[in-house]
Amino acid sequence: MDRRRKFLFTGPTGVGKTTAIALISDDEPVATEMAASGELAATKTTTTTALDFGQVRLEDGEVIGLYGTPGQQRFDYMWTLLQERAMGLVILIDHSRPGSLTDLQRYLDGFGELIAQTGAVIGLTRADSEAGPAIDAYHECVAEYGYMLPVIECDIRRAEDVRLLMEAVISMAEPLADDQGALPEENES
Amino acid sequence: MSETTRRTSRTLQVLEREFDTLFDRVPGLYGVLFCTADGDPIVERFERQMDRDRLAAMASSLVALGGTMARTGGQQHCDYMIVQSHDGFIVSLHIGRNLLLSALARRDTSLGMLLSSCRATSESVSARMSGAPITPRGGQSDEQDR
Ligand SMILES: Nc1nc2c(ncn2[C@@H]2O[C@H](COP(=O)(O)OP(=O)(O)OP(=O)(O)O)[C@@H](O)[C@H]2O)c(=O)[nH]1
Ligand SMILES: [Mg+2]
Repeated sequence: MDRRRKFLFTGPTGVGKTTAIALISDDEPVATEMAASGELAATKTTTTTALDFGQVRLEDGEVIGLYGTPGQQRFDYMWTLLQERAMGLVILIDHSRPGSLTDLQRYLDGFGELIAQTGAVIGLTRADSEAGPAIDAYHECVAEYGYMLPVIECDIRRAEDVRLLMEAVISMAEPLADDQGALPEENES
Repeated sequence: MSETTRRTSRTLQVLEREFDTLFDRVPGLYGVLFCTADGDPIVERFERQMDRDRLAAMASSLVALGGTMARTGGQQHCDYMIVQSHDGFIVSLHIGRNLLLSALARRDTSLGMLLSSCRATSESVSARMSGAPITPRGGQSDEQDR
């Protein structure tokens, strides 16, 4: 029975979590898209309401699981469920969105326990937008929480950018320890 | 309630009319909730205190996962998501593409009656709502995009 390391993508709605996981997953990704309503429907036809899931085989043969959260805060119980046993976190932030620093704070708060254990990588999308704050502001925001986290500019529609984020978060993660990821009834072989 | 979702009084009327029918038909029913497909509550009738915001969001998660699980298992449509607990049932289902119905009932309720009544409500609402989209881009197809 193989054990799989699990990495989590989160961030506000429309930032590109579903897009990112679908891009680099080796198998058909699992998506839970539902018709978007309200203001969101003006920019996006669907939104994730449970989770995204994909699998990636690394060069050394290890297969990792990539999970995406719903972006909307009303699904925060999924955030709690998905954080369990995760070995690392990518927070995607849309630099062009008004309030992008508040967005970052929301996810630093919402995933505080996981970040304290594993750290996180911050992926800044649409980073060429003039609308957002200076890039340093994100570093300062993270520092206020007492963290030192990489902030990586990316185009989430490009597979190589998504892989870069994935590699960054993997490089921060611990290898799977013997007692992690095992099924409860599994005997060590 | 957000203006852009155009929850017109006509939409609310259509939905509220269903409450009496459902509560009359299904003994043991103690809650009915309509929400958008992506989990925003629209209107509900609860006979006890419950968190409608969370129930709406969870209905959306479960129905989405149910559809994904059905497809993964080689099946085409997820008609209902059924939570059967020690104390009762919670049933959630699609009404067209943009709406969800959830019904909560005590354990002494007949599940068959609950499911068929929810189906009848879904069909009745669909029939009356055609041409009254609940979102600005509303369509009525029954399937998810992905
Ligand atoms: N034009 C442009 N579009 C982008 C850029 N980055 C992402 N997108 C688009 O933004 C959309 C992101 O959608 P999703 O992947 O569904 O977003 P999500 O984060 O999963 O959203 P939720 O599930 O609602 O939380 C996609 O259509 C992307 O193509 C960018 O830099 N420029
Ligand atoms: Mg998504």
